[in-house]
Formats: sequence, C-alpha cells, structure tokens
Amino acid sequence: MGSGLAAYVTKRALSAIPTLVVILILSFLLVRLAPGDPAALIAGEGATPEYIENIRKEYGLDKPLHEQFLIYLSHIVRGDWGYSLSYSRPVMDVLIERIPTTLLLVGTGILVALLLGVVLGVLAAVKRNTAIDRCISAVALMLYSLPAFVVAQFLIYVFALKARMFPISGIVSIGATHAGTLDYIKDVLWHLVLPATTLSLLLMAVYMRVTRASMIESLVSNYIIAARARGLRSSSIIFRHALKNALLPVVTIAGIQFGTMIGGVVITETIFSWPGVGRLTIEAVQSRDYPLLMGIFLLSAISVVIANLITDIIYTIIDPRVKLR
Amino acid sequence: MPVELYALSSNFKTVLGVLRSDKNLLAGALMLLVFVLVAVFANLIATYHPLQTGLTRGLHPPSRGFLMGTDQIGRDVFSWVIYGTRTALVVGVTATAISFVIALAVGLVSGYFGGKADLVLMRIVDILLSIPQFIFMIVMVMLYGSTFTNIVLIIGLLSWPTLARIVRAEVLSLREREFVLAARALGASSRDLILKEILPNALPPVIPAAALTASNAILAEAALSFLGLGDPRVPSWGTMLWIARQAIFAGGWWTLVFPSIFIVLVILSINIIADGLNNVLNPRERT
Repeated sequence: MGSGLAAYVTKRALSAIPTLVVILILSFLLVRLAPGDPAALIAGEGATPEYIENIRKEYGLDKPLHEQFLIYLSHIVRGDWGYSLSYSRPVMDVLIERIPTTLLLVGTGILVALLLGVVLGVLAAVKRNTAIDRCISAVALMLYSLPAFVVAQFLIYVFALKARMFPISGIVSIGATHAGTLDYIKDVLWHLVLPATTLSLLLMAVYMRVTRASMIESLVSNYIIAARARGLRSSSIIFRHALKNALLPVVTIAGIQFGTMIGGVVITETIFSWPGVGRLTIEAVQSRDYPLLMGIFLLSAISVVIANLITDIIYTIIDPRVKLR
Repeated sequence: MPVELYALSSNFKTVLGVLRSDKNLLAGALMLLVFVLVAVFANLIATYHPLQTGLTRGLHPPSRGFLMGTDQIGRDVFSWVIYGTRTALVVGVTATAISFVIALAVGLVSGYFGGKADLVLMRIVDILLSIPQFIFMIVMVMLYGSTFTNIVLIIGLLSWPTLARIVRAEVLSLREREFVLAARALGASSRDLILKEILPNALPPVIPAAALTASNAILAEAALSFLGLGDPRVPSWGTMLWIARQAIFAGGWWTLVFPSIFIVLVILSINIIADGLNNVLNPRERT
C-alpha cells in the first residue's frame, strides 16, 4: 500500500480538476448563451436598471468571453456565488443554510434503503429462483417503476391525511414551541418519517436488484474456488467472502447517489415542503432567481465530482482484487 | 449477415420469436401495446378536449359523463389522462431516439478508433454524467423556455452519455473478435466493418438500456410538468398530479389515482420489457 495509495489518490484527485473546470465553463456559458440579457439574468428578477448595470460592470459582461470567464472564476473561488434577490442574501449563505436539511433527509433515506435493500437482495440471491426470490424481485421491480411523486402523494394520503399518523409537510410543526432540544429533535424526526420513507422505497429497489445480481455472481465464483479447493471451506465462510465482494457495487452506487442528492431531491422535498436544497431549487425557479439557480447547479455538480472521487478511492482501498503496489 | 447472429436460435430472427421466448417480455409488450393503442386512438377514446376547462363547476367525482371525474377548474380527468398517454409515449420515443443516435455515433467512434477521440469523448461523457440530470434539465428549461420541443430535446440531449458508454464497451469487445479480424483480413474498409459487422452485434446489449432511457424520459417529463415547468398547452400526467396536490385535500382522490395508475403501468411495462430483453439478448447477464 503506502506510496501506491498516495500516488493513486493524488492522480485521481488531479484528474477531477479538469472535470471541475469544464463544469465551471459550462455553468458560465449556460447563462451567457441563454436568450435575453445576461446581466438581467444574473441580476435576477425584480432588479433595478442601476443594479443591472452594476452587475454588467462587476462581471465585465461587455468584455470578450475569455476575460469574462476569468472574472467569473475569480468570483467563484472567492466564495462569491452571486447575490440572491429573492432572499436578499448572498447565494452561498442561502445554500449553506439549506444543505444540512437535505443531508438529514438524504442520509437517512440512503441508510435505511441500504439496510433493507442489501438484506432483501442477499436473501433473494441465496434463495434464487424460489418463490421468495420471485416475490422480492417482483416487489423490487414494482418499486423501481414508481415515480417519486406517486409514492410521496400516496404516503401523504394514507398516513398523513387519512390515518393522521404523520404530518403532511415541513420540518417542524408551524407555530409550535419546543420544551427544549429533545422536544425539537423529536418533532423533526416525526416530520422526517414520510419523506425519508419515500426516498428509501425508491432507492431500496435499486439496491435490492444490484445486491441480488452481484451476490449471485459472487457466490457462484466462490463456490467454484471452493470446489477446486476440494471443499476445504465451510459454506458459511464461502458466504461471508461472497457477501464482502457483493457489497462493493451497492456501496459504490450508494456513494455516488449520495453525491448526486446533495444538490437536493427536488420532487420529494417539494411535496413534503422539506426546506432543503431541492425545495430551494423550485423556489428559485418560481421567483426566477437565476443566481440562486446557477448556485444550486454548481453545488450539485461539484458534489457529484467530489463524491465520485471519494467513492472511487474507498472502492480501490476495499476491493481485494485491486493491487496498488 | 453478421456471423454472430447465427449463434442465436433461429427463432430470434423475428420479433415475434423474441417475444415468445420469455413470458414476462410478452406480458410487458402486450401491456405497452395497450397504451400505444390508447395514444394512437386518443381522439376517438377521449370524451372531451383535454385542455377544455369549465365543464363542471369545480371538483367532481367520477360519474357517467366524466369517467375519471373533473379537476378544480372543470377539466375532464379522463380525457386528460388519455391524451397524456400520447404525450408520454411521444416523449419516450423521441427523446430516446435522439439519445440513441448520439450514443451510437459517439460509442462507435470512441470504441472503434480509440486514441485521442476516445479520450476526449469519454471525458465529455464523464463530465455530463457529473451533473445531476434533473437539476440540469430544470436549469435548461428555465433558461431556454419550457416548450414541448425544448423539453424533449433537453431530455434527449442529457440521456445519451449512459448509452454511449454501453455502446463503447460493446464495440471495444467486438473489435477484437475473430469475425471482425477475418472481415478486415478480407479487405473490408473501416466503414464497412463498423456498419456491417460491429454495429449489428453491438445493438443487443444496448436495447434494454435504451428501453430504460425511454422510461426515464417519461418520468423526467412528468416530473418537470409536476413542478410546473412543462408546456401548458400539452396535457401531461405530471401536470394533473400537481393539481392533485391541492385536490386531495378537498377529497379529490381521482386526480391522484388515475394518472398515477397510468404512469406506473407504462413505466412498469417498459421496465418489464427492458428486463425481459436483457435476459433474452444477454444470456451471460442473466441471473
């Protein structure tokens, strides 16, 4: 390991840089090439003419494109991602405020989905082609085909409206006073149940299918090895080895999905009025707040690149088949 | 006739042969066929013009004149859902066609010629895949307008990278096979090799992926409409589901249930077909 790993990490991290640069170029070009005056778009809806002119000067929108890009770049790396008129705050501040809320939802959803998905996937693989397997696989296919908004609406209808077990929306009850932090946490968790369940149901399907497929493949190859070794291994050891190999693809996928969802799960958050980055996206769309929208765009893309990088590195460390010298 | 295809049983030479080989595939195909027929004959099946408002004074449960009820502004849910089938299938087919063509071109060039072209193209693919598709779509629709054509184009232009990777992987493995080397030894040009030997054999694994692209495209358009970013002149299931948000508080369950059933069944049938095709065309992937 040692120097092999450090070298690999460095190499991999460096190769992510051109990707980030191109993403910045893309986000830069998208606004400038859109129909309409870029200055007005960047300023946002409801900006005064003076403000728009200020923007034009500040971002050098009269200058040639490559000069504009350098100005844009200098703003971005300094943490100045623009000013949101609809929130009267810098975009960066608004984003930082909303990210933890999304992380809570997404993190919970993925963890629960992983737990259930892996367990069911392994079960289906071990009982391959039996009734249990067919049942689990059919459920997975069903869940996989359900759109987020259908699942969310049905959960609301059944558990919130009819059964009144959970709240319909929001992260805390409106106008409620909390007798201390524990009370507050309980309220948040109560509100977390339905949105997190929605996410989990959708993700679980993917994890079930992937786990089942990779577990079957892994079991088969392990049995072959064991057969060659003339049964020196007990079946539980075979199982454990197979499981370790089988988990890699699912965990990789989960890691990548986590990165993708830091930019918010728009549909789920919107339906449950969960105040995360996804909900923020819709608010930005509705108030035509382009700086905020592009800020979310950048945040999402950068999160994905970083998450992919980290997942890649972890995978390389864990996968026994990869030799780093 | 590409050598490889002889390896498949002679049943497979016809589409019917393929369909008959897997029961699930047949079921999925039949389900989808129903929806295709609904979409094609929408104007014969629907009872009103979907966009027409004021047919009743507000929310109305399913009744004889309005099989699936009406929404808050008096639109007939049944007609909306029927015409919505047409919207969904048009989106699915068109966006997938766009993606498929681009993916084939990129994947074939990248896989066959390799070198710099491959490096550059795969970089582009990586970068496009780094941007969460849905946010990208929302931004594009916001900046460039939410007309139906735009939406279909945007979805198509954002779905090709995944397909391109699959095409490229197939081409890479096919490039070194004996029948390709044999054809080249017989003096076939690159163009002939790509079009006549590699392309037909690269298609089988790509087709299930293309089917999944179609179902994703339908979901994406529905999601965009759900968020109010769709084309208001086009009846989409997503829009009705957004209306359902308010309607279910007033007891209007029909605005939620019927579009939901339709969209779930269409997506399900496409996914069954994709799964079935995968089992049939890629036996080594079969689990």
